[in-house]
Amino acid sequence: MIKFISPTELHKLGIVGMNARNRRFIMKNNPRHLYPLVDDKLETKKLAKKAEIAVPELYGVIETVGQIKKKLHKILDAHEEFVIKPSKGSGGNGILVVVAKTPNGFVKPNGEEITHKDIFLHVSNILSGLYSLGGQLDTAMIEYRVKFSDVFSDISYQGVPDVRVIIYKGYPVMGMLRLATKESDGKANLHQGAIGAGVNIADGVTLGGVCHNKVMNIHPDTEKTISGIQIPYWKTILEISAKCQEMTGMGYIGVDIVLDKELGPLILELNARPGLGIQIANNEGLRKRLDKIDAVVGEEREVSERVAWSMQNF
Amino acid sequence: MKKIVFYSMIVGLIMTALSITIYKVTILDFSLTPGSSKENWSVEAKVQFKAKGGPVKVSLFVPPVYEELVSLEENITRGEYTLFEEKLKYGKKVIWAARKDDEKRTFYYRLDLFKGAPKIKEELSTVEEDRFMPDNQKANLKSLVARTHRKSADAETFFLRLRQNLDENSGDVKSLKKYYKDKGGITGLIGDALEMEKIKYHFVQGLIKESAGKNQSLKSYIQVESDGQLLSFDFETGEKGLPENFMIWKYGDDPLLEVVGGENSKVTFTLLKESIPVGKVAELRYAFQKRGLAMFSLMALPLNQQHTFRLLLMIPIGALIMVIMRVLVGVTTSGTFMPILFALAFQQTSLLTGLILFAIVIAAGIWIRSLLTKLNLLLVPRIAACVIVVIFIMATVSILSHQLNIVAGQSVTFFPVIILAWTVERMFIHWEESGAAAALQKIGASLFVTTLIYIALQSDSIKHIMFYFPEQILTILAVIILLGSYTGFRLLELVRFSSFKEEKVND
Repeated sequence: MIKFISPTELHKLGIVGMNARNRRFIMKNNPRHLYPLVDDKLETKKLAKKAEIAVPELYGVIETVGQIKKKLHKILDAHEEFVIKPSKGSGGNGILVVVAKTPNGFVKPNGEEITHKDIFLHVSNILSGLYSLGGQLDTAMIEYRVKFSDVFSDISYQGVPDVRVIIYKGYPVMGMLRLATKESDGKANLHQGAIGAGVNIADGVTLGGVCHNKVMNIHPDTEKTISGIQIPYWKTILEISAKCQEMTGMGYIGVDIVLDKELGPLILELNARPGLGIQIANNEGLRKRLDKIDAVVGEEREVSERVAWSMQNF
Repeated sequence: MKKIVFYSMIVGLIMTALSITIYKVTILDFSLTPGSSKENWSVEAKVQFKAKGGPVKVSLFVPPVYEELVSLEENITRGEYTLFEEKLKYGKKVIWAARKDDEKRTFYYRLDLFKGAPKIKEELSTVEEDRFMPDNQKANLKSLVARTHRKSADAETFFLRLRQNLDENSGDVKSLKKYYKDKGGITGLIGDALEMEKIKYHFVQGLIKESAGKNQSLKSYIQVESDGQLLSFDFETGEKGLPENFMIWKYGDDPLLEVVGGENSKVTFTLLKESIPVGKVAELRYAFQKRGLAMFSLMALPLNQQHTFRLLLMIPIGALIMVIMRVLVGVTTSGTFMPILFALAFQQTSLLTGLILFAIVIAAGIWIRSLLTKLNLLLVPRIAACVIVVIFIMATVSILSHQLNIVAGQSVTFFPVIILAWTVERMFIHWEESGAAAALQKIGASLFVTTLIYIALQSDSIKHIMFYFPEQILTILAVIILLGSYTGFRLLELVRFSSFKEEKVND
């Protein structure tokens, strides 16, 4: 039996629908010409560097096929472990992680060994646009491999747990911890079956989780409880997220952050069209929080003040 | 934009459309519903040629009918050509003439037909004159006729046997065919043979009012008198009898079109079913011209273009349905406007056939595309390869269904190839990224919307309104703009966010 909820009830709860998100928040606050700043991870990284926001260190960039022969091996030689990703990739596709080197080649996280040739082929695939949206030509980024913090190892299956924070006009609005599952194939993408767990903005403790729009409080693969976990560096996470508004000039963005064991929170990427599933994960609508921010937005505040305001109010 | 401007724009669009429609209905007496008299046809002959630079005289044979309208293109009304009519015993000739011309020209001749247009009775050719021909050819002809005579019983069997003999291509037939090459061809040869056998006959050319269609050409029949009965045969196939809905255009073997001073001439016909009484069409056209409202009337266009517009005007309906499904319901399709194009294609194939063919082509396409994936091709070559694969699959489906005698399968050719290729590519990528279930769900949603649009496009009432009241696209535009500013929930979001309700009950 399909369950329905009436539109008036949704409205009362302050849920934001797709149409409202597009017209009221994205179109009004995110000017078109700024999109390349967030759609291209290389651009985002440059901006973040300028704004002194921590990102995984960029080891090198391969822009043309010619550079694969001339430049790539130098970059690879200099580092023991690294990640290669397309700068315009979507949905976590095209990411190659190397965790160690052997005399003959490289080792992937699952223990599989690959050769130089495999890596060259992967990079040339990236350049040809195999993983980018719409197949446009792309560049390959080689960057620092994040060493994931242990906090989430109990509640994430293999892949990358990350924190998504929605920033509206510089204020943190809502947060979510995204946990990979067997179904999502190690990716933290809600569409592919990852779990989204709401996070209390005030203290960074996880609320219950949601998978495929359904409530799920216990991780299906690790069978551990998802709620009640303290996310470390929570205030820092909110602060660097909030900084992204000034950095990009966009009024409504989703900021994806990973936690490194040694370096703390690092910004992975930004999203100009953040999904609405975060409302289900937090069991709360966005509208009331957004309205509250709109009411105070005239007052000029520093990043730390804005974060403090959000932590107090949400 | 201020709200007041926005809404007055919407109201303005709707009011404009509404007032034109009201004017048409009340003053010009347009009918809002499709008329009952469906058996009215408009025929349009399109004459094309390239003038050589000197004097030009174009004559087109047209049949006599109760009412006719000659519709000419601008270049004639500009006075370069003069129009004549020459009465013939049966029907008449329309002649365009000019002293000097070197342009490519297109003339239209248009004819509106009532149900049961007067049938023309024509006497059969009488055989008397002994045409001049060289003795050896005469001997050849005589031997052919004698051979045919021996192996036949009456006029009917004589004609059929004659056709067989002509097909056999014996020595004398070959020589005769060569001789007749510039003397009326096979038609002339058959004519002379029948004359020699003293069989009364004549040639008939006409159109089959089967389906409204563009660029048809005349079909030829021969009628022979056998035991006082008039028998008709398809000139190409020898099949007996005239089709039931055959409309005779001309008798005799005189050429349909003669162009003096021009080259590359041809004449094609477009047939169009009129859904309002033909007499009315004439009246309306007149009324429009008199009131200077011709620009609002698509009926003033040549038939060929009308035919195109009938389809074009349905696209806004499709677009409206797409917008409703996306904004109000929340269905996302593969390729935003793909369902419109397929709904149009399904008009030709019928819905069920279309869906089955679509499934076959897409399934085969995705399978071949998965083989291509190992090649790691760049995007544009990949799509190009997909296009070729799709054409190949379509050809295979067509050939197979032809061999298996499934007529429906052959209509696969109406599918838009490029869109199909993109659909295959998108579905495949979606399959890879989000799994088979998601891909099938998306294609299912696309086909669901396609079906909805198909049903809307099939409606006679909608067709009628859109063609005779094209100003209504302004209303559709207004509704689409209005929907574009809708920020409420989508129907499917009521399901997506339903978990909020559960929580409440638990509390």
